[in-house]
Amino acid sequence: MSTRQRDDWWTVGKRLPLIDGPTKARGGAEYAGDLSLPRLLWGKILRSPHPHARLVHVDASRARRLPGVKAVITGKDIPRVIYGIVPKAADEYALAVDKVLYVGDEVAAVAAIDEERAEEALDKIEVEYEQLPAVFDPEDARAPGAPLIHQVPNNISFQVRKEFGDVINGFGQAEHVRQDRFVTQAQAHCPLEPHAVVASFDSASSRLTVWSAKQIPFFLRKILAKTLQLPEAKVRVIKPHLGGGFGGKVDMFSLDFCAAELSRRTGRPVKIVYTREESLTTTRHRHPMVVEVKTGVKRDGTLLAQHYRVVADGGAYNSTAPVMLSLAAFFVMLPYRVPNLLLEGYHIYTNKPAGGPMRGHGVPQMRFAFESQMDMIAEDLGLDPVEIRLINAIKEGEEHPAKLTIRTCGFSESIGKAARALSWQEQRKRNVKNRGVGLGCSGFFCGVNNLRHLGSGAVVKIEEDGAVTLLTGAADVGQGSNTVLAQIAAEELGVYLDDVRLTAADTELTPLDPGTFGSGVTFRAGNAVRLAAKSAKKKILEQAAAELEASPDDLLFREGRIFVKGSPERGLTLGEAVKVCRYAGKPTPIIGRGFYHPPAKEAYTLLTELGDISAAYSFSTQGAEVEVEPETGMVKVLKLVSVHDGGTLINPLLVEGQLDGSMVMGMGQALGETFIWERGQALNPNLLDYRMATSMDIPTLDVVDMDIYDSEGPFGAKEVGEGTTVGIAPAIANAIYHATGVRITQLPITREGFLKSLEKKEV
Amino acid sequence: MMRLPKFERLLPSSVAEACQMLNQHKNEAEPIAGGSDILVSMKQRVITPKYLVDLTTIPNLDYLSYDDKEGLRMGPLTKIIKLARDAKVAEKYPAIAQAAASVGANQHQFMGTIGGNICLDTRCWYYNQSSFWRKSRAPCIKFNGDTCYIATASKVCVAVYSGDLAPSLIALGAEIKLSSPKGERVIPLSQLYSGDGKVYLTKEKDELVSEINLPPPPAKSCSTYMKLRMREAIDFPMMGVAVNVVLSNGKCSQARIVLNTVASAPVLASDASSHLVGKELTAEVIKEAAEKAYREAKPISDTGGCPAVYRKKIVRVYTKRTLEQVVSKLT
Repeated sequence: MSTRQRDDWWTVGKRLPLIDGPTKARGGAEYAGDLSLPRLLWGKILRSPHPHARLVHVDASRARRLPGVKAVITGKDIPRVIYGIVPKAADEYALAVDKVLYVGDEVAAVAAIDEERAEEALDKIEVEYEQLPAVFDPEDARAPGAPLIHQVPNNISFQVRKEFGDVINGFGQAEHVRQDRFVTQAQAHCPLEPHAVVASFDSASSRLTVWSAKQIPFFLRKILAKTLQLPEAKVRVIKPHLGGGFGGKVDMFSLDFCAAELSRRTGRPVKIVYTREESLTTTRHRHPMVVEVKTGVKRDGTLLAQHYRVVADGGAYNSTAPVMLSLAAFFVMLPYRVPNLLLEGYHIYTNKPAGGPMRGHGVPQMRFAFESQMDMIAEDLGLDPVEIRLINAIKEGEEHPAKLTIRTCGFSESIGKAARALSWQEQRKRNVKNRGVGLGCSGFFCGVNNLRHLGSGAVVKIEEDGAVTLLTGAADVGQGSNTVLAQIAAEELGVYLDDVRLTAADTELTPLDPGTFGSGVTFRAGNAVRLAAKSAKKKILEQAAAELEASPDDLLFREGRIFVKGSPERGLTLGEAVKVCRYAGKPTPIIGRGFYHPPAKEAYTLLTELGDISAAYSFSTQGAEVEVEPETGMVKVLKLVSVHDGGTLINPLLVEGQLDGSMVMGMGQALGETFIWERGQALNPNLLDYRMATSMDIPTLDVVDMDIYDSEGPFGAKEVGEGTTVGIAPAIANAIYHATGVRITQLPITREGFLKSLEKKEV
Repeated sequence: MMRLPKFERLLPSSVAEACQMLNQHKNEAEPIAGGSDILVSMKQRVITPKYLVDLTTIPNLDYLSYDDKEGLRMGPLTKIIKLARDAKVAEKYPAIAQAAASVGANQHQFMGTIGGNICLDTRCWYYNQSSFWRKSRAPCIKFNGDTCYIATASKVCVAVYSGDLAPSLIALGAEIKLSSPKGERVIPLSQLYSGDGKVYLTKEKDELVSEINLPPPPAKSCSTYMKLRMREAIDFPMMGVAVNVVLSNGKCSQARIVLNTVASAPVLASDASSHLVGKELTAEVIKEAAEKAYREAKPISDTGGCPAVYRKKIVRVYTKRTLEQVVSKLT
């Protein structure tokens, strides 16, 4: 299909506002924390004040006697089943069984008639702890004699090794080699809506219904059932409106299990809403990492070999450790041609809150390291940062050394466009003191690998009222997937967007979907919706053609009608067409079913084999223009640029929202967001002291258009939700180097640290 | 979301009645005006007063009135946003307008009052935390414990004063009227602060700030405030400098440089200030004064994650900048 056909599209490619926008703007959207049910109880969780301790004794008897308290559970009262979002890395209990592993680890949960009594009950639970030696730094945790957090040697909870080509030989041929070390920090997701759940167990039918602020309803169903030892068929998960996730609502947390168990015990619905402090410090954050990278190049800048050694501070639990390390490995294979590569990655337990998935998931840390080093190499060789990137940029259709299929690739184009948006030539030549421009690049995937549960289903019904009902398992987390999926159905069936009724992310009503992570929603669920719509269309087409005495090939679906191309008066409404089918004895409603399963290999397999991790890859270049105040070390970002090859933009308005948000999140990673820990406890567990940018701090955000069509994606679409986050921090760091000659190797860039570096340079 | 603990709201109809209520309930009552600070502390269970004496029910405490002879009279319940937007204030006391506009975010300025801001509790991140958070440590001095987690050798609390208005007000020579069941007294604002992080105000618990006054600015004078913060909104100051300079015959006849957030009270940088007096404010003199202010500033804590060493360095930079600013406006 050529891109020219896009002109004929009806809703795809249009800047359409969110279908649930008016509801949200009027305050009518109900989030998990807003829900209420008759006889609702409030749940609260008791947490450990110690980073590492043995539970000697937990006595909840006083709490249980408190009027208004309906249930108190400890680790002994909940099935002793270990859970984890990645089954092979499962290492967590809903409530601590015999040890607590970080400040905030869950010890007990209560349900009471209101929040106040629930809080009071927490104070009445007596816990005797025996404090254990704790360890907070991954290097200390690996050292001999370090206290063991889980019973694994050297606290190494997971390690990966990915190698292809001939690394030794590659370095042997190199004419220039450099080795650098980069350090990154923890970053929090900070969704507007904190984690929340309402669980309702119906004792008569033994059915559990859970409304959870979660990106992955079907995983939650599976893991809840397994952990609480309920049949999966008796568990229903519904995702209400969600106020942002950014990866922070991918994992399960204590509140999910505790609300369900408390409801099972009391026979009453139980709601738990985390405070902002709980959301910030007892869920997940971006893994702090130390990345050592050694790179060998030819004198002309061509990359020959790379060796990465990555140590991730995992915190107290694994969460997605194996996936995170694998992704770290895969996304150093893009967007440049690296013929020989070795990556060794380690995930280390420490007595801190656990790291987990967050926009970019293991990749921003890696790209900060290498995009910075890329500029250093360019300088060593006397090359321009744009030039060295273009030399090494992967091109469409070329054979990838790790056998990724690069079907479409707008990477080189994105570099050029980003450079133009920054007036690169002039800015680099002019060399205004304390002003600088820099680039960072990334390649990303469009939905993770081929695990069997990672396929999406969709059902499209054409009803007799002429409207279309779409059932999708995909979880809209606020990014607008419901709108995009409705657009795809509307496009295929030629109906108005307003005539698509959508039910999403309800495990009992909608088809299986893995959920919102890995940048696969539009790609995977979008393809499923398109296939379902096509299938429904096919079922109606023949009868409509007979009725209109035309060939099926000559019929057009548009404006809620089916008509003969060129003769719009010869047509039927969709509702009439359904009636025609019914009168012809065909079963109605007209139902189409779609399922999409990306043709790619499984991530862990790919650690030892070559091949695709995704069905398509997106490419992007980010740019930054900064001004530095040398007296104070303040870095002012004047402009951020995003040039993202995301294939067809199903809804450019929503894409801009994604890219703007990505840029701001990347800027936060670069310039200020971090946790300051003291003995594993965050000193800044609130949004006053954990400093996300405010609207006043946001620079000019420049989204530059690209025009790529990828035949595997729905209407040619690829990823846009994560990739842009990845290159912002190195773009800012590279711009700072251009402005001042100070090379940033540690994030975040604090004023005091940067000022020290500037002073050191002056001396 | 954090919930407020239970409390009883008392509704006085006059300052005298409010003082009476505070007196009657001694340590169980706190005054509340805009509530932008105290409600957060209550949600965190940092303080859990049984009674809140709601000053907003008292009439006629919300006013700004300027007179060339008397200067500026400010009612303590005047919203900070009013100060930030008042043309007369901006003209006569630019430092006050700037300080007001730098308080928190817009929402805080709409809720917060002048009186509340000058009485803002000292802050420390071992103190301003949720009750759960604080369970990991024994109580600090400000919580009647023995330990200061910022300065372990310290026997006194070193929580920092972070109100944005006070330094500018002090630099401009503000006086406050304190009312209590015993009567009224007027003191320079600088004397309101004890310098101790725990009992940070010198006023009695049943005394209320009932008016804030600024003298009219001398003919050739100018003031300004500069605040160190990491974000353009929301942040408390990590350091701040307020300066007020009077010139006569081309020389500085009066100068006050007041530093914010480097101690448990606003600090008059007296060496730096007196260094300016009697001199022409040349680049060299300004530089010397900035150096003196730097020496006088002795921040201890890494307030809001901003290291003391850095904040001290910025005293020098911002003192220089504020002085340069006022000099350029005056010449």
